Amino acid sequence: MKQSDAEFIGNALADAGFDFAATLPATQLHTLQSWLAESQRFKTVSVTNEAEGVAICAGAWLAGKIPVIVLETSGILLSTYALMRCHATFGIPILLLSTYRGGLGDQEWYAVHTGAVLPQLLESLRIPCKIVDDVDRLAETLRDARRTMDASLHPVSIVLDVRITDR
Amino acid sequence: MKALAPMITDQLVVTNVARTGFEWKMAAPREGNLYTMAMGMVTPVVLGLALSLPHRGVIALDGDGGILLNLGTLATVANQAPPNLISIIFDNQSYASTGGLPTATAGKTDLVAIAKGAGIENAVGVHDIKTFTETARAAVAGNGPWVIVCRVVSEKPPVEPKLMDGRENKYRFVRYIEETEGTTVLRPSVVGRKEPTI
Repeated sequence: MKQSDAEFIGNALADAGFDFAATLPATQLHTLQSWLAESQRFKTVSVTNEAEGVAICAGAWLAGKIPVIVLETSGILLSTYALMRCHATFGIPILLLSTYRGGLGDQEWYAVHTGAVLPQLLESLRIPCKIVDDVDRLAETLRDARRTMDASLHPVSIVLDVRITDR
Repeated sequence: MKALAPMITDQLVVTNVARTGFEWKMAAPREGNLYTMAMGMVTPVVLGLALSLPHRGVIALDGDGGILLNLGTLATVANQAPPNLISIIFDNQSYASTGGLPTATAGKTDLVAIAKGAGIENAVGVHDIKTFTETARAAVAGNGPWVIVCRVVSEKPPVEPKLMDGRENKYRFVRYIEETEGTTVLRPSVVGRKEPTI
């Protein structure tokens, strides 16, 4: 992701009220993750796996923060237990801001199967999802995510297409 | 649990599944308890609370099976180093609530050594109530993060009180935080399409 896009997305997250971030370094997201780590607008925690990350975000929400986890597509697969048993069970929202490894146009062979199941996985988890391929539309989508999080008290997902992460 | 209960003032306490929650509710029933957090998620949830409310004590009542499910969180606790976090791990060397098969701590695994290796200086193993009471008192005073591994025997509590539904528990826990912190956590739905509450 371009540095300028990372800064735009980071500030758009903060403008939508997000103030707590968990991250696990990802190839397509490291510029955004670095920006979050250095930003005074966020408390950012670097985690050891995404299930741990979403659980830390649950605690942050209980304390009044608005949490986002910035993660790889595979991280959503890894975090499903925590998303269901922690967030869905208790009714705790979180934004999953992820890449779309294995989405249309991705040339990495190892990502194909992960990407192929992502939409159905999120649907099965009853997590509303929007795939965004234009960074200019992201600010309003982030505000929509906040609206749905506040109303549903359930996780929400925004998936960043390769047109954003790989340009 | 009975030794810890008198030390609780306004700390937030999150418990593991099954007997840990039952016994803590018997020892210290209060609005600042969140019971039956998922295995492996107790200490991470408490870490999120600790980082977000750095002026307030937070306590995880975890288990050996739970922490073994998510050992990486000890490294995150060490590196974030919240001084207000205490993780008490009741190590009964078994998955007691699901049939009693042994955990890794029944074999060669040492949770105190793992916590110390993760970088948590105040990682302590206790084997009796007197040492636990002294250690917990020091931990409640601050200078965390603390990991207190309590070697306990696996036995059923005399009564298993019903715990409330997790959602009701969450609402009451959150309302308690809102009231005592003067903050807003629950941001109710609005009529029409308005800007989200910041």
